Amino acid sequence: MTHPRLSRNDVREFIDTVVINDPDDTAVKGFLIGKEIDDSKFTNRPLDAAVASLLDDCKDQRNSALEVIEARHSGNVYVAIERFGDEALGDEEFWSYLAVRYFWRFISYRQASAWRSAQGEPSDPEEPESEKAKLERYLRGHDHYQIPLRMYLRAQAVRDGDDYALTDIDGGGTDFWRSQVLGVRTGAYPSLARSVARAQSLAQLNVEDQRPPGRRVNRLRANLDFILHGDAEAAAAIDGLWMVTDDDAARAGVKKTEKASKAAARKSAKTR
Amino acid sequence: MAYEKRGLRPFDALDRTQAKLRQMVRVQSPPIPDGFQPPLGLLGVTLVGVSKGSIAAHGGTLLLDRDEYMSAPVGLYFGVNDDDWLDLTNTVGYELDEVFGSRSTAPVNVVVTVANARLKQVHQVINLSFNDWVNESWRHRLAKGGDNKNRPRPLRMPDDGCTIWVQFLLNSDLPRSQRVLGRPWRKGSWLARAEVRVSAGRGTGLAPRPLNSETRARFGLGKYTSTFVEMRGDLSGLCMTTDLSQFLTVYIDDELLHGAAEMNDRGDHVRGAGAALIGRWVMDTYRALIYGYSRDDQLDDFDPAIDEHKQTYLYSLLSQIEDANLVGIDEALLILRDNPTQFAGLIEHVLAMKASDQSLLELRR
Repeated sequence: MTHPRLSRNDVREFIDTVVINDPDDTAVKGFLIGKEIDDSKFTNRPLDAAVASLLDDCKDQRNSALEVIEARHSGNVYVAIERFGDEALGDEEFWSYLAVRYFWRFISYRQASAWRSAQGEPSDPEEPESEKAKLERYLRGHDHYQIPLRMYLRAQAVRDGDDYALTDIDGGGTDFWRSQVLGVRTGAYPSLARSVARAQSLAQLNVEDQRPPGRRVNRLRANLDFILHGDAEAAAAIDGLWMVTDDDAARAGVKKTEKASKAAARKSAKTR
Repeated sequence: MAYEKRGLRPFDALDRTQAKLRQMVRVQSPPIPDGFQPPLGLLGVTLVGVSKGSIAAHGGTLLLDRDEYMSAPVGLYFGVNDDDWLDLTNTVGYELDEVFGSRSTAPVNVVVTVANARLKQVHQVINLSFNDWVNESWRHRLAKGGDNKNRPRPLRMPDDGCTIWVQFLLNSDLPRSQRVLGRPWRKGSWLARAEVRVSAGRGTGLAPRPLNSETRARFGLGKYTSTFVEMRGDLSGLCMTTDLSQFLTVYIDDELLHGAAEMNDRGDHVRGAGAALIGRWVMDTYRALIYGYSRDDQLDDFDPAIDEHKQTYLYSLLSQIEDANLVGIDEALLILRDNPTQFAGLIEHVLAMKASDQSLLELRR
């Protein structure tokens, strides 16, 4: 095994000793040197360029614009990361290294609240540890929460050859990708992922409204393997699923009423 | 959408095929030499890590060394000889005749995929119509030896490991005239499936390694020691992991294990004491694990309410105790912290409730 890697404890150490001190590139490099990571054979100029371009686009942007920027750059990041060997890509600790080495600054912008929390300024003073744990999740290559991995997975899921247009569909916010594509096995079947992304692009359902159709797609996928499906067949299979049905609307209405009455009960209990 | 209701399983259509497939599918590395047949009693058992190279049945894990994972040939087998093959293909053909009217026109393919779950990559390695499949043999080559580019990509990623799926899938939507209420009709519906994991040392880490003269000498154990759990390091973080192999290795006398695990074709132990012995080994292993948890300095930081902690092996133990209606998860955690031996008592009850406690050692799931 020759590729650079950072263990979970290394990531924690990075948060506790580097993030906390408002780092710059030199501090991050120093941390990697301290971990005796020799990545001289793992240079990746396309990734350097992709990340530089990503950071360039982030300049002077509000946090709300970063989701679109992340989406737009997913294709470039995917292409660059694909240059690393399979053995490295199949190691979550290599991805943790990628996050620290290349993406730490983007993570500090994109997940600013978790980043600040790790620096001792939690947005919710009652939950400092939970915010910090979130930052660890954005840095560790364990699952689709991690920033470079989720960019890679998003592009991989919906790319059509060299065309990455579906990575930044209208209406495809963070929750859509995390809950409906990358966090479920839909992301493993590109024809299905593309069909769901296209359907969401047309329907532009909000997060709450995505849940019932998301469940319908998951249920369908539990019984079907989409390995044999082309795009047209996958689209036909989910035809009529990605929408808010009368039943969904009625259930959402009941839930809203229940929520409102619970909130009212809590309020009245407090005032008593 | 009535056919996709939760609870309706596609394999209800081909239940004998499903049973037979799960009984017969095995993945092995290195592949079986010509003429060699493993003992029939071992067919239903996943011998994870029992011998170098490995064999795994449905639900089990093919455990390979890192280099083997990336370069060793891997074979997929339907039974162990031509008679098994005939038995399986006849069963499938008979059920296809029943369900679709004729096996020769049944829109069913045998599809084998290799998947990396973390990277969401699924690679198809076999896709044959039923008619083409029956003309093959019981032996299939999934990956050639050597570090070749044609190797399925997930089989080049030893740290993540992969899952091999063998499935009978509908290869097209059934025409309306052939649709029957309660039976799958959509392209891609799986009618029967079996799965085998391939791992280079990961997994839960409870898969036993052989305790033989070499390992006995290494740990200074006597010849009557039948099981031993090696603990490494200060065990800090054991409670936070899903991969126990970073911290411990389970060794069981390989000869005794083979004997105890041997089953007949009905899935019963060939030797009367087999189940009891395995039960003892399982509990010995869990007592060692609980001892490890009790020494873990991070145990006080473990919080079952945190999503990430829900992925850990410890959480699965706590939730099993809750499922057994003994105590809730939070109380079980308190017991583990304050009184590990009482926690072991709770676990013993949970294990006894399992249909097969062998599943806990990844012998058979």
